[in-house]
Amino acid sequence: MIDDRLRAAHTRIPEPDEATIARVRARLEPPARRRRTRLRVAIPLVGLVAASAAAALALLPARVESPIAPPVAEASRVCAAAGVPRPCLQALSDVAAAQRVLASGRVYYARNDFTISTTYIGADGRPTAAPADAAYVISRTVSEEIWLAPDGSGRLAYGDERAPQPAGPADERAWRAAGAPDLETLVGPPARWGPKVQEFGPGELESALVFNSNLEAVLPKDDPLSVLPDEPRELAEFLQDAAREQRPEGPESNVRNTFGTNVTTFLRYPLTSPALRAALLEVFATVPGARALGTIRDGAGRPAAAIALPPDMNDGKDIVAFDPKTSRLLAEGMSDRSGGVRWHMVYGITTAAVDAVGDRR
Amino acid sequence: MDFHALFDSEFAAVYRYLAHRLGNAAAAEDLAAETFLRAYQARATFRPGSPRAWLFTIATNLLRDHARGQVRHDAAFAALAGHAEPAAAEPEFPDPELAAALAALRPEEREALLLFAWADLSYDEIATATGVAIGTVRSRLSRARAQLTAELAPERSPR
Repeated sequence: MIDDRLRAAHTRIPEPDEATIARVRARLEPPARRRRTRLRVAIPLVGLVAASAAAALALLPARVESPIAPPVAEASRVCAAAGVPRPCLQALSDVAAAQRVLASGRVYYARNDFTISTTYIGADGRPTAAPADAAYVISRTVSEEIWLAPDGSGRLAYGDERAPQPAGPADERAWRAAGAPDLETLVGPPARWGPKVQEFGPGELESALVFNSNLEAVLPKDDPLSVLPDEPRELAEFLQDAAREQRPEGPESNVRNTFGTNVTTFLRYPLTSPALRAALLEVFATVPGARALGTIRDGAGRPAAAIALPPDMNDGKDIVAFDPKTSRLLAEGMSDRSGGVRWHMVYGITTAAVDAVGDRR
Repeated sequence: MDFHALFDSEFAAVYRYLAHRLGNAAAAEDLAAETFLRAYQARATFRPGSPRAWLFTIATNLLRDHARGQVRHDAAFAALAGHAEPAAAEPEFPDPELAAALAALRPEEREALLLFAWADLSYDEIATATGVAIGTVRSRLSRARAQLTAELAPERSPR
């Protein structure tokens, strides 16, 4: 009788679907390749503050990396599936670990785009200060070029602010439904962020890119990433302790946000080593509440493995998109109510290893 | 051993067993993958016998590790004063009343019963998987069935 009831209950457990079987197969092929410690349980994340605009920049040039065939194929396959994010992030971690260490003596160049202003338009057709009340969102973007030399010196160059545009596809539909009012009139004149050029001496650009969110409180000024362990469990603990130290006075939500933005800061920094980037992706794989969104197009139209983070983990930029071929962070954005993405930062639209600051190829 | 054939024939059973034990499909996927990964890594040490029992031995050990890890995980969150863990999905069991009664069993009795009823292992295979004598398996099954019968008797039912 009891055995019958047990078996009857068990018949209601569904068979694994094809996507589940495919993900597990991908993790087993080739099983001998996994060598780092996987984080098996969600770590008690705490977290942090917004990345500064200056830190929202650099990305290691994809062009100077060499996709390694087996991990790339696995990442592309695994990351195509929506759902649990861990298989995708672990596959991306394998891709990262297989990347070459950057050659020294070159200057890394990248052109990025980032949103410089955002205006929320209410149902009455007028700007509103309450994002939750917005019928649609208008943004201005600016082009940013970065040259980062091996000694941490370099240059940032910003172009003119572009004409305002609806921030995402859903915003564009809502704007058209509202009669497509003149966007310049709605958002007002640009803030004159650009054009401008900033020069940085040895170590200064590295500091500008890494030391956001009070990270200088926990990292050494010289070679700041050298103290970060590249074993995932140790790294998770280090980052957790660091976030607490960075935000000693703040509420837990600030500590949690600090944790998340630290991870994205190191992921986007061009000189982060392959081993550290692999470990950072493993750490993200343990974030409670994260979701894989499958393969989508980023703000530059590139196919990207998208992960949705909890909204309090990356200064509101809850969508992070990675290149399955290199594991690089391609873009960060915010999800909208329709399930779309408003891309806030798009990295590495053009990349190159060049001989001197100012060169583009 | 043809590992691919073993995966094809046994993955669903291992996954469904873990999913039912954990009440969580994502965690089951994780542990099922780990089960086959460890089996692959240890394939050279496999002795002639039941591959199914061997897989469920690994899965059973992983379930125990998982439970211990969950305790440490919960304790770590508790140590973060005032910090609430992001809501984890509630376990989903097809028969909650049965699940509650199973939770009241001693772990070793529950394990033996579920390896029999959900994993379809024989008494011999359960003895292998849990590392005890077959007589011990019989006594554990007997006690588990008796307790469950008492717990789930109609007069004890809330309905």
